[in-house]
Amino acid sequence: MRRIMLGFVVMLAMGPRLRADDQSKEKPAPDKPKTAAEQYQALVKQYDDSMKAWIKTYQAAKTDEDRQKLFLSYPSAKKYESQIFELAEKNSHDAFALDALIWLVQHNAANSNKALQVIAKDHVQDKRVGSLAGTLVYSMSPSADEILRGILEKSTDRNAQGQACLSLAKRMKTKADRAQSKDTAEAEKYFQQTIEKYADVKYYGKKTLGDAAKGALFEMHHLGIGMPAPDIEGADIDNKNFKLSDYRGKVVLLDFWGNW
Amino acid sequence: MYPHERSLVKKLEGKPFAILGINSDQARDELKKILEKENITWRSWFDGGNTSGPIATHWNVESWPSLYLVDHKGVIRDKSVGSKEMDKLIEKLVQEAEADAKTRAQK
Repeated sequence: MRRIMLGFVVMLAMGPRLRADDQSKEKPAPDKPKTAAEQYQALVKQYDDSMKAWIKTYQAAKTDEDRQKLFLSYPSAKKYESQIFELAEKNSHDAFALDALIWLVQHNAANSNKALQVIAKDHVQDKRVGSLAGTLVYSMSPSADEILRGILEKSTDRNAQGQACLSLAKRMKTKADRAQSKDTAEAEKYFQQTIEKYADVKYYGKKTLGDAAKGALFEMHHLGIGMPAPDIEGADIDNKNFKLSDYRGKVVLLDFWGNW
Repeated sequence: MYPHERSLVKKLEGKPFAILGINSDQARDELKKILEKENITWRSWFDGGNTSGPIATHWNVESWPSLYLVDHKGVIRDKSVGSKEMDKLIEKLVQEAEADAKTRAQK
C-alpha cells in the first residue's frame, strides 16, 4: 500500500512537469524577468499592451453608446503602481529607479506624491527630471515647488533648469491669481530669470522659453482685468480688414476659438 | 460653446453687444463650411491658420477656447473659459453701455 501511495505521489509530482516540458517544446515560454529593471519594463509593457488593446477596441466601436461604455474599462495604472514603486524603492541606486518614479508621476498614480518626494530627495540633479518640469506646472503635490527649485539650483542640464524656471514662474502666477493677490513679485522674478538665462531653450512647437515668459509678462502687465484691451486689427474670414476698436460703444466677448 | 454663443447673440439682439472670434483653424474654405453648418453669425479674425497666429500670440493664449470680456469703453472686465457668472456680467455691462449712450444722447 505504501509503495503504491509513493508511486502515486511521484506520478503527481512528475505530471505537471512533464506537461510543462511538452508545452515548452511546442512554444518556448518567455524568459522570466530577472533584474529589477527588467521587471519594471515588463510591468510597463503590460500596461502599454493593455492600452493598445483598449485603443483598438475603442476605434472598432460603432456607436457613441459603445464608446461611452468602454470608458468603464479604460486601462488604469493602478494595477501596477505599488509594484513599480516598490521596485524603485528597493533598487534606488539602479538607473531605472528614476524612470519608474517619473512614470508614476506622469501616469498620475495614487502614490505619485510619494514618488515626487523621493525625486526631490535623491534625483533633482538628473537630466531626466527635466521632462517632469513641464508636467509639474499644475501639480497639486506639496513637493512640486521643492523639486522645481531643486532642479533650478542643482541640475547640470540647462534645458531642465529653464523648464523648471518657467514652471515655477507659472505656479507663482497661478498662486497669486487664486488668492486674488496683486503681489506677483515672485512670479515676475522667475519670468525675468527665464528671459535672462534660458530665453533660447525650446518650449513647444516653435516657441522658446523666452517667448513664453515674455508673453506671460505681457499678459500680466497689459491683459489684466481693468486694463485697456490692446486693439486688434486683421482680416476676417472673407479677407476684409476690421478692428476691435470699431466696436467701441459695444460690449465685446472675444472668443479665441478653433473647430478642432 | 456654439449653442451657448448662439443663445447669447439671440438674447442680446439689438443691444450694444457683439461676439468677435479669433480663429486659429487652418483653412478659410473649411471654416466657411463650419460657419454655415453651425450657424455662426458673428465675425472672426482669421489668425494665420494655426495656433501661433499673431493675435493669439500677442494675447498670450495657450489654451482654446479662451474668452475675454471687453466693456463698451474698451476695458477688459473678465477673462475665463465661460461661466454663468460671465453671462451675468455681460448683461450688467450691456446695461452700463446703454446707460452711457443715453446720457451722451441727452448732452
